[in-house]
Amino acid sequence: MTSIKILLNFPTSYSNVEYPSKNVMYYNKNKYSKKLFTSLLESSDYRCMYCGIDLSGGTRHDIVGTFEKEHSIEKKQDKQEFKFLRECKFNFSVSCPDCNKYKSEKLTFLNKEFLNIDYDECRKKECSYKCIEFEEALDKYVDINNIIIQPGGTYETRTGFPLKIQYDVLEKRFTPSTEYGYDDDVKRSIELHIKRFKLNKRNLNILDQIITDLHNDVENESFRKLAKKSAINPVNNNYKNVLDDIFIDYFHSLSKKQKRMTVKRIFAAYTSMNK
Amino acid sequence: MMYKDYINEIKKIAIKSIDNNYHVCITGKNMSGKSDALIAILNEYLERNNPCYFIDTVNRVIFNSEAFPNFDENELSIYLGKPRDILNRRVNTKYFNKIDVFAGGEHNAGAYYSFQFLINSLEDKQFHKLLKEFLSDFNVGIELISDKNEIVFTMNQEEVVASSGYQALLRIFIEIYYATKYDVKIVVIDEIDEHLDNKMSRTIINKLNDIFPEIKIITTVHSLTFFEELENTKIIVLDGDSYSYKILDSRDLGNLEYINREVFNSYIERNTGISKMEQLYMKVFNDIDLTSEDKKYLIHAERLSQKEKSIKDIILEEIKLDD
Repeated sequence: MTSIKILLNFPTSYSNVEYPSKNVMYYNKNKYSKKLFTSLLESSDYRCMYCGIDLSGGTRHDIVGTFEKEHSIEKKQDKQEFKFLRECKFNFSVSCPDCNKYKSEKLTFLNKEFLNIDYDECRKKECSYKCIEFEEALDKYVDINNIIIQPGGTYETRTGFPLKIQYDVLEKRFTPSTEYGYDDDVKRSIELHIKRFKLNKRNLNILDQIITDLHNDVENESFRKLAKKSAINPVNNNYKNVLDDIFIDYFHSLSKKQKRMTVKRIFAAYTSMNK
Repeated sequence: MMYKDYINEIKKIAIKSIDNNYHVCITGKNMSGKSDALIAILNEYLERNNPCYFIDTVNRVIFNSEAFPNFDENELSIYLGKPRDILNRRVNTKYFNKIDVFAGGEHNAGAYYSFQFLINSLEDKQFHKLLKEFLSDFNVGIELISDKNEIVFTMNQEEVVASSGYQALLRIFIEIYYATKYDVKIVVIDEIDEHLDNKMSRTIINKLNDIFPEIKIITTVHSLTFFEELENTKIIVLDGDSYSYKILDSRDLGNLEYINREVFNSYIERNTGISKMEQLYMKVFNDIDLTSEDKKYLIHAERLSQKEKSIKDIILEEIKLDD
């Protein structure tokens, strides 16, 4: 039997990354890579781009070292490391250590025809957009590995629809988004992405603290002002996942009575799960 | 539940939702009782003397005819009467969804009278501005050639014969504009998506909302895409076979597949539909009063799952707070 659901859209692409035009060794520490990774972190609001978990360690002042420089296409293909994959600015996202690890497991490697980019040649010029050769390698890589790649996201070849994920709040489950009416193959591909990152098996701290706090507020008949963990105005709360912020937006759209009923309903669902 | 009670309940929910400042969309299979529910709602508004207007399914055509003389605004207003006169004509079972009685007297000439209304009104700057705004997203336009008393319909800036969809849009706009001149605040439209393509269906309610923000609309609908961009709307899904229904909020409808499942399919397969307890939860969540039968179920329902029990507790607590 289906239920009325509370579905939150989990971010599956980040579009406002500012790329420096120079092609330098971005995997190393230098002023260009600092700029690149700061922009990547800001675009995801200091969350892991794959699981949404907080990368800031509670404050915005100690971000260095709490995130991993994750390669969209794994830099090693079949035991051989490729310089352009290691250094190209368009081949980076930011993730937590767990996601970085899961993403590099059980991969199908690219054929040699996609790996002919000479990064020493790239370094002689500047570029603001991904080159066609890199785009093709990325498309192929996504296709053979069923990954919704970050930060740009993945698009269905046939329809051009983005591959998206929703979070079912009451069931505590990530599922393929129902927004675009994907066919079974696409759904399966998204499910494989969810499985790869073990999104439904890991404890990603989604809503647990918020619902506990709000449930206390139900007793007090007054809901606290929920603050998002924004990068601009950091707040020291324990709402660690990007889905906490997304839930806060949803919660603000409800009437007081709807808030009360929603909190009770989620709390009851979570309590029965823990039994 | 008897059919009469079922229709009565739909009527009450729709009116309550309008009172709470929502639009209402009633959907379901053919013969599920949508039109009967609309008539019940209209009769209730007539009884209450509540200014209300009704557009039934035959009022979607507009054309000029040499068989009729030209009327000025005053002459036209005599033929049309006031919104309540039109409403009274349209709810009459002799005419309902059969004959276009926009004007009294000459029946089935609504297409011509509405054309006259359009010609007369296009000289009114406010009307012209609103109509242009209304048509802007549909790639169609309209120009008055005042000397010749003619209208040119355009699509992508080329003159065209007005298609059925275009005519339907014009008729809906004209009739609502006419009703608002008499301070009508509630417009009931049977099958608003009739003749409209997917884009028009998806957009029309938000367009009307932007242009006539003071109007609340109750409509019936068949098209799936109509639901895609709904805002601030209560959706009542009817199942005529079992005289049951469910209520959804437009905020719950994020996407086509979900709409397809929740609005169009779930009532067909009862076993995959939402439980009665969840239906009651949605009623309370959306500020809709529980009927005595609902309350009876709430108190006496047996063999509930753990989930249903917890939902029941939430509903009971809310009802206690309301009391």
